[in-house]
Amino acid sequence: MIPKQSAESADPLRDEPSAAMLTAHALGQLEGAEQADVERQIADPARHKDRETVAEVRRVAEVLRADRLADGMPRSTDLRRAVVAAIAVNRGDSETAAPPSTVVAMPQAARRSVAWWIAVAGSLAAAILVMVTAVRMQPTQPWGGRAPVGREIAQRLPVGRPGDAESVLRDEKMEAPPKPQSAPQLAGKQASEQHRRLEQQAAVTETDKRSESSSMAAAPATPGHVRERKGLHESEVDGKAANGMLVKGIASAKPDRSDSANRNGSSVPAPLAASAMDRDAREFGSEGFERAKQLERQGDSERYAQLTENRPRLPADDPLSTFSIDVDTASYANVRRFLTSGRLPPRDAVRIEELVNYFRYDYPQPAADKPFSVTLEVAACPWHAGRRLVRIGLQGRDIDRRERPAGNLVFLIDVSGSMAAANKLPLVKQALSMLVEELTENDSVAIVTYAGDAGLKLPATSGDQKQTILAAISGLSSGGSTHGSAGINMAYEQAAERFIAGGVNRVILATDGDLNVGVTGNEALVELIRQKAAGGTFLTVLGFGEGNLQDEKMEKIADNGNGVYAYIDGAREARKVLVEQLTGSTITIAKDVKIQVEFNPTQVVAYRLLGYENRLMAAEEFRNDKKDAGEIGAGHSVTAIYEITLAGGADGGTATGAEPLKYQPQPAAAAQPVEGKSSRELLTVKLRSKRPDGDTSVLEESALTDRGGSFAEASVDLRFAAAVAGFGMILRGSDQKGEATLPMVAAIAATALGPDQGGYRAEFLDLVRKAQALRDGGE
Amino acid sequence: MSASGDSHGWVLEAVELYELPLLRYARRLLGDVDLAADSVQHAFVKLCEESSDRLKGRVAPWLFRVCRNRALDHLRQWGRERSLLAADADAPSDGARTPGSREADPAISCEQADLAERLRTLLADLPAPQRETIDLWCEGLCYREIAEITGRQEGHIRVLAHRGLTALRTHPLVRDLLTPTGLQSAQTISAS
Repeated sequence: MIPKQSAESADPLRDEPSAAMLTAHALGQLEGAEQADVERQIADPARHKDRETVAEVRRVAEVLRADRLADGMPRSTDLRRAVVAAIAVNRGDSETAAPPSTVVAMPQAARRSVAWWIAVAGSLAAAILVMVTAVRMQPTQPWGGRAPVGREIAQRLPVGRPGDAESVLRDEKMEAPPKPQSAPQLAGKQASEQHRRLEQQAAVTETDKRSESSSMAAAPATPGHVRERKGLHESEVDGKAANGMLVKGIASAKPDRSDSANRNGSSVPAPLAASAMDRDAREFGSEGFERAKQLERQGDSERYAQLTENRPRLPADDPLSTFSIDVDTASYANVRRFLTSGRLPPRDAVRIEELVNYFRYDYPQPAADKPFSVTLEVAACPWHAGRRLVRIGLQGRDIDRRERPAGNLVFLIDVSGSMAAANKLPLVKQALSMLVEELTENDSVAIVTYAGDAGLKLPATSGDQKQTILAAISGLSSGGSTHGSAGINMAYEQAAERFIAGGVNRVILATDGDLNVGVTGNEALVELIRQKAAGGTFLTVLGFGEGNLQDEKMEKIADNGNGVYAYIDGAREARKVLVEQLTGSTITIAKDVKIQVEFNPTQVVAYRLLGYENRLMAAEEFRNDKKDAGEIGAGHSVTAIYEITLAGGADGGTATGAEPLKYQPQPAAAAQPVEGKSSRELLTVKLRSKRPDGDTSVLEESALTDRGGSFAEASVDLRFAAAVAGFGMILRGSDQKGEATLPMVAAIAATALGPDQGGYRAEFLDLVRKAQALRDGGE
Repeated sequence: MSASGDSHGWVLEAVELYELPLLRYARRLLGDVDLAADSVQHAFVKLCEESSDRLKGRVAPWLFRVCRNRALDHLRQWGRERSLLAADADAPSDGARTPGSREADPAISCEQADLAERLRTLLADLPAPQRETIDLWCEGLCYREIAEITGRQEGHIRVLAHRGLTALRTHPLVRDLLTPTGLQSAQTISAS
């Protein structure tokens, strides 16, 4: 309805339709006959009033429009990504494309909308469950047995047609106002209750909602409502504050929706997810469930290479045990993820050496000219009476972070839709932000993304431009299919552009396992990575998330890139890998590090290496410098554990001394028993490694003699490492575990925590207990 | 597949053209930047499912309509649709706008800025349908398109625009500024 004053000051000579035509003319909305008509009318000198009106309307409209256009709102990069992703989905070239049943003709727009959200947001199962639950609960809520007004309107109206607006944006045509407002106080009460409920759901505690100011109390807009409007306005602002908080949740955590329920409280408040997809859920709840189930099943799509555990070997037949070092720790984080979420990990997800290597051990720093130190120790085996445990520890030289060489880091980030979950891209961003804090002006960082939206997100930027880098990081958002664009090539190009001779040149790939980085075929990819590594640019693979983890593939890729594969399951792990080990995971101090242990058959009748199954090498590959192996970074340590069975007597009848060795390609010094005393040695550890930029390996040897120590007398580190290895065997259901049990592991670990900086060992103990609880609870 | 498999370049073009108008419109409707962004994104994502042939020449109103429906859904879900009838949360009616929220256009004279300020405030106080009509016109849509977007009759849009503009134009606060110089400085507004 027209405010009185305007009705009065409108031209009394014109009725409303005719005046409206004049306004339309002023706004340039007339054409043809009408326009000619109006122009003719106002050309009449007598109608100067009309001309004034037209001029005024134009002036007002012009100012309004100019003001509007001056309203600087930033364009959103998210939008572009979402659109690109949606295009990909609609072309049907995405593996995450909408399920066929939802790809129907246009009128079912809403249906496909939800499908899209489901598809693109990745593992939305949880959110959908929450949403559907919320929707189902609503009508039975105890607020007076009535659905809230808003919902009532929503239900009364057909959804999604333009016609809705007529009622919702109620026109001031002289119709009677819709009924729900007939009792504003009642409405207000309902509204306040709804608000309160939303608050509870959202656990937004500090939104002190004043019920009387609820926006629901809005009376129909009638003239002279200034005071009431004012009140409403306040409530609006109030409500906005509350919403603002929630909405922040949406905006920043839009990708998070997926995981909100199964990750404790990290992301979107449940009602928000519910509200955002309310309508869709109402219509397609059952479909949502179906899809949720599908997604649930996808949990099984994690792939782990089958490991056949090492068997005991006889030095008499096989005196040499050769393997590449492995500083990966991904398996531990992955195992932790399983246990923390209340499941026992699949057998092949457990790689014993990665569990053991997850922890820091107190190995001495290497001598001045050496890249790493070697520590050997032997003690009784806790789970096999009569056997011994041998620990081989390598410690890479630690470099003070401030003194580390310049880094040329290129992040290659998967921003496909599947990365949307809270524990994926948001975590990637968090991890990167942490890393950025450590960078200096000597470093450079570039960010390349791959997925539907592939491209250079940040050209190589000096490490002291933190704001620029952080802005680029926070601008990352997921959406789209993991789709070949030359992501990895671009990353390597960036690395090459800023190549720092003598520095750290590394591509850091962050993904949830959809490793389609733009090179078709695994072999081609591996070859490319191998080539680049040869050229001095190494690859680190950071695995994120769950349900889609291509563990085997990722590890293979990292191995070929002379790199590290780490699984990042939380902010803590991100800090450990990227910050605490920054120097370690970025500065290679030795590469192609191989270990060969030669057992003395006079002392050892059987040996078994715990773990490293996928790192074993043929004995002759040890000397072959063309055969690459793992690298060791600054501060990294590598631990290997052997379980050995001693010969009955030191001078046992089988003491054929050096005989088997005479056919070995290169008998090492220790293998040639030097009169008597060397024959008491259990074994000799030979290490070959190259300098990071070198081509020829250097050999180092150390021998170990058993002094017969018991397990209890062993160092804290040996005991702890043994506990971890035992835990791994138990989780793998190994038939080699002897008498190892979870309580035994826990007991050993509990007394071997040591200084435990960072609390990692205590956490391990916790995991052992979790595993125990899971076992007890029904496994 | 509803999309005709042709290049989707036209969608990206539409993003270039209509993102900001949609954002401004949705924000005024919702009073919330994030929800507005969501509505806009929704519209474009839906656009991807459309064929360019089907929408030829109607992309803008189509986008606005889809965006609007989404925005109204948001309002419903928060039980705030009533608020549309009162004030726009984004535009405090007491005129206490944050000065930094807009870039000052040096071309706008002090007086005009004042006028803009007052109009903005008064516009926010108009009944929602009038305000919405004017908002959409400001974003460059014609009456026919506004009718299509809002589901109203074109004749009704004409009346809504007229009422809204008349209310603004004749408001004492505006009159003061309009009368002395208004006629001289009035310029023709090109048809949208």
